[in-house]
Amino acid sequence: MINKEEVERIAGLIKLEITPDEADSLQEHFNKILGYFELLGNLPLESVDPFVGDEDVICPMRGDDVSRWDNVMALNELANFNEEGYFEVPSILGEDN
Amino acid sequence: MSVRELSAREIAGLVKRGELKATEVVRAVFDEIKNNEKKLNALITIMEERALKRAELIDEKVAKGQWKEKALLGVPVVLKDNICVEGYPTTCGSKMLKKWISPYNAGIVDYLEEAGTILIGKSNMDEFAMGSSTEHSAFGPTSNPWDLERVPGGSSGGSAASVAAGYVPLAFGSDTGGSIRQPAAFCGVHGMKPTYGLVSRYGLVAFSSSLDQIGPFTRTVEDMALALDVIAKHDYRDSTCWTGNRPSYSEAILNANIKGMRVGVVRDFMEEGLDDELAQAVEKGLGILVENGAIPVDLNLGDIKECALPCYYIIAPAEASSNLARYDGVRYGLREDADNLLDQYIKTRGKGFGDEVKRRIMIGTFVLSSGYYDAYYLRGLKARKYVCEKFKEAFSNVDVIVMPSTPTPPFKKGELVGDPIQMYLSDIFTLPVNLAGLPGISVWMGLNSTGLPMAMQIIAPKWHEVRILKAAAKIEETIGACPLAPGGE
Repeated sequence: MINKEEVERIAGLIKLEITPDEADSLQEHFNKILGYFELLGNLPLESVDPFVGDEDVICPMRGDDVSRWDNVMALNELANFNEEGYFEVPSILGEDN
Repeated sequence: MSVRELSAREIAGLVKRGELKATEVVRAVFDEIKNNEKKLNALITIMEERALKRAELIDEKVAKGQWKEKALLGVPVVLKDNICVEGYPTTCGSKMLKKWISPYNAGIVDYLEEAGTILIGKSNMDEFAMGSSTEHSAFGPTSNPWDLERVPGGSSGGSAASVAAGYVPLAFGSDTGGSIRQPAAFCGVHGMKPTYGLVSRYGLVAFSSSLDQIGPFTRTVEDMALALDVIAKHDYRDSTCWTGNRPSYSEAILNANIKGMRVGVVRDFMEEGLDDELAQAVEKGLGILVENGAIPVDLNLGDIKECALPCYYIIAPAEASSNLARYDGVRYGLREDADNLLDQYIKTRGKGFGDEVKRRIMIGTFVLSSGYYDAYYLRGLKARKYVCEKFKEAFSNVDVIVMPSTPTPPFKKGELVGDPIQMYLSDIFTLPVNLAGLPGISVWMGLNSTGLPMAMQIIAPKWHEVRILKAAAKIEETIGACPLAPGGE
C-alpha cells in the first residue's frame, strides 16, 4: 500500500505540483493500479529474459551528413529566448537562498 | 452521390479526371464540419484557409494536365493533434501545448502532401494520447457520431469520429495500446496499427517510444491499402523506422485470395468478460473467412490476456514519465511564473497536465524508482517478452489471428472516467498487439441490436500487413464498407 506521503514524494521526484485533493485521489487510484500489477506474480517469469528491444529490427547507422535547419527562429520564438541567445529562466536558487 | 459519401480512391479518381474540383471537395468538407462540429467536437484546429489554397493549387495543376500520378489527389485528410504540421498548433489535447506551434512537418505530413492530399484539420484526442474515450482532452470530449451520448473511444477519438461522420474519408491517429483500433471499433470504421517501425514517427509527439505507431482510419479496405502505400516508407529521421522494402498494398489486395490461409482463434478470449454480440461478430467474421477458403485453427496464447494490461501499464507510463519530463516551461509550452526555477517547473507541470497524465507519469516514476524497479519495471519487461514469445509460437502455426477489438460496445460519456482500471480494460484486446510490435486492424462488423457499431480485430506477424488487408477485404465483401454515421448528418 502506498501512503499519501509516498504519493507526495513521487510528485516531488517528477517536479509536479499536486493539491491535497489530487493527492487523495492519486493515492486511491495508485493502490488500485498497483494491486492490479500483482497479476504478474501469477506468471512463470523467473526464467524469462527481460525484453530489451526488438531483436528483429536493427536500427541502421545513418551517414554523418551535415544538414541545415533554416527555421531556428521558429524554435526560439517558442521559448523565452533573449538577445544573447540564451533561455531566460527565473533565479535558480530563488530570492530566499 | 455527395462528396461525404465518396471514398478516398473515388475522390482522387474524380479530381484527376477533372470531374470534381478540389475546391468543391474542400467547400463540401467545411460545410459538413460547420453543420456538425458543435455536436461532435472532433477537431481542435480547423485549417480552412490552408486547405482552400491547397485545393486551388491542385485545380490549377489538374487544368494543366499535371499531378495526375498522385495517388490521393484532392483527398481531404484529418490528422490527430499529436502529429506536427508546420505553422499550426500541435496541442496533444493538453493545456501544456495549447499555444505551441509546430516548427516542422511530421514525416507522414510530407508523404501525404506529396501524394496530393489536402489537410483539413487536427483532431481531438485524450491528452498526450493517454486515454480510451477522448474525455481526457483539455478541449472537451468528442461525441460518438452513432450516439452522441457515448464516447468515440480513444485516444484518437476525433480522427475516428471525423471519418465516421463523413468529414473526410481518411484520417490518421497514433496507437500505443489500441488508440486507433479501439476508437475505430467504437465509431464503426476500419482502423489499422501497422507493425512497429513500418511508418515514420518523425514529428509524432512521443508518449511511449517503444510502443507508439501512426496508422490510418478509413471506411473501405481499399482506402486503407492506398493510405499505407503512401505513408509506409523508410524515413532516416526516425531511427526506429524499418529499412526493408514495403510491397504495394493496393496491388496485393486486388482479387485477394485467402484460400488455405490459417486463421487462429483464441477461444479463451471469447468467454468471460466479452459482450455476447461482439463474440458473435468475431464468430461471424471467422465464418466468412472460412467460407472463402481459410482454415480455422484453435489457439492457446497462454495468460497474455491477464498479463498484457499490467505489463502495458508498467511499461507505457515508465516511458511516458521520461518523455514528458521535457515539459518544464523553459523551452516550449505553458510557463507559469515563479520566483525560482524549481517552483516554475512544479507549477507549470501542475497546471499544464490533466488528471490522467498526472496519474500515468506518477505511476511511471514509481515503477522506475529505487526499491521498486525490480518488483515492477523489470517484471513488466519480462512479461512483455512472455507476450512476444507466445505470439511467436502462435504464428508458427497460423497466418493471422482473429479476436475481438473491444470487450464492450461504446460506453456512455462519464461512465468510466472515475474508474481508471475499468477504463484501461477497454483496451484489453488491443494492448498485447502493441507489446509484441505486431500489425493489427479493427474491421467494421455491422451494428448490434441497439444500433451501436461492432468490430473484429485481425492480427498478423510483423511486416505482414498484406495478410491482414486480404482477410479484411474478404470480410468487407460480405459485411459491406463502413456506412456514414447518423450523427454526421
